[in-house]
Amino acid sequence: MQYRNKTDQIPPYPETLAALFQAHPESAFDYLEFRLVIARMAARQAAERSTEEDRARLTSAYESLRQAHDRYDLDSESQADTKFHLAIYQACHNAVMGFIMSTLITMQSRDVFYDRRRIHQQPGAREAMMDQHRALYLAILNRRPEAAAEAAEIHIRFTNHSLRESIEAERRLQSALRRQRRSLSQEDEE
Amino acid sequence: MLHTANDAIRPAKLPEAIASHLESLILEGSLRAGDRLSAERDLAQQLEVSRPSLRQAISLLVNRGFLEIRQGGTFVRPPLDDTFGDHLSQLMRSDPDSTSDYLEFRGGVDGMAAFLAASRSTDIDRQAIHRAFLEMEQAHCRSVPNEEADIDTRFHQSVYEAGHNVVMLQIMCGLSGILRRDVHQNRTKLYTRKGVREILLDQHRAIHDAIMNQDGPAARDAAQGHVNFTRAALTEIDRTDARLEMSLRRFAETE
Repeated sequence: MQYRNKTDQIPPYPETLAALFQAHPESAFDYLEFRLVIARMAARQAAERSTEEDRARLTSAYESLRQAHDRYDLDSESQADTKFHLAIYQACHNAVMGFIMSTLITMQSRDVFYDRRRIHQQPGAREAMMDQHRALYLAILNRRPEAAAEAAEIHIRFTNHSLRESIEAERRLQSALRRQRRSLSQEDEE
Repeated sequence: MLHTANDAIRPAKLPEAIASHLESLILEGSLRAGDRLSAERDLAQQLEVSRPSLRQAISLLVNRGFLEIRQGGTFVRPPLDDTFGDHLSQLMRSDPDSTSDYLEFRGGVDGMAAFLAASRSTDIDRQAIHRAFLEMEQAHCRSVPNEEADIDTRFHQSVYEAGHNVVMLQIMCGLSGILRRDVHQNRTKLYTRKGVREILLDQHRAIHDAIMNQDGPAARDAAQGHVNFTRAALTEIDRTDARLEMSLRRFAETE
């Protein structure tokens, strides 16, 4: 079956829904849970259906991501990360999925669900994510649907795990700071 | 002095706290697009807050696009707003494959929703699914295709709710709200076909039973199977419709 390239409509940004999610941070894990299922499906479809044009777009997004990563340019890396995932959804040739997921990915790139820096600051997270992106990219490029789905799942599970870790780390830091302040004030009294 | 900022306790201002509470109700689907809020006095009493605070909270929510004041009261607006909806409807109409795309997308999501519903649903959620299914059976016996198609939407919504994932709920209910007209047309098309109605009812029963038995994998398979069947059946109907039209045109030409 031949897949036509569809016109890539950029959906208007749904401000109200974004504000609703942003004001209720507990939606972050629901987002990642939802995304896990969709990401598996999308990776599989992109591996099966991508046209030459899609693959060229994906390759260029992946290359920018890798270069930004190597330069240690965090802002560019974040932007390239978004473009890389958008390129996968475009390669699925499902207009509805493209429309919905580009909306959610755009929300994520504006830190609606969580501050992405939190994840990138986890020790080893940037390296691990670069490896995950590479595995996902290669599986799609080599037209291996099952491997692509697997790579997508690993990537989202890792994101979920890192987010939980960063929240825990923040909580631990705050209580350590409060204890430190207590011992400092006791030293003052002595 | 080191880190005092983290210790300061600042209670949220009351109107902001009320607004946030109402937002949570919208997020979890307790308040849905089109719902009318209770009268100010009743709502203030229910939330145990003063009327001026409530009024301020409502005006915050109107500014943020969650509520609108029309004749007859204060109503919940769809969080996926009209501009978004219009773009999507336009896309659906301009692309002949979009119904099939929509159902492909739903196949994955509905499988997950049913799986989550089977493992997470509370008794209350399961009662809601059960009620929707009983109504569906009754509509089936009365054989009113229109009514049956309506309940179909409600049944699936109750499964999304039972999945307890607010992002999935907001996206999928938003989608079905936006696509109501198109999807409804298709559903009615399906329900008027001989034999298809029985198959659909059996499929819904399978989803229902698996969720009642809290059997996640069975619920997922049943939901995916149901959406895949719907997609295949609609494609087939479109194909026969096209063939019928072609024959009619040929017939008209020879006349």
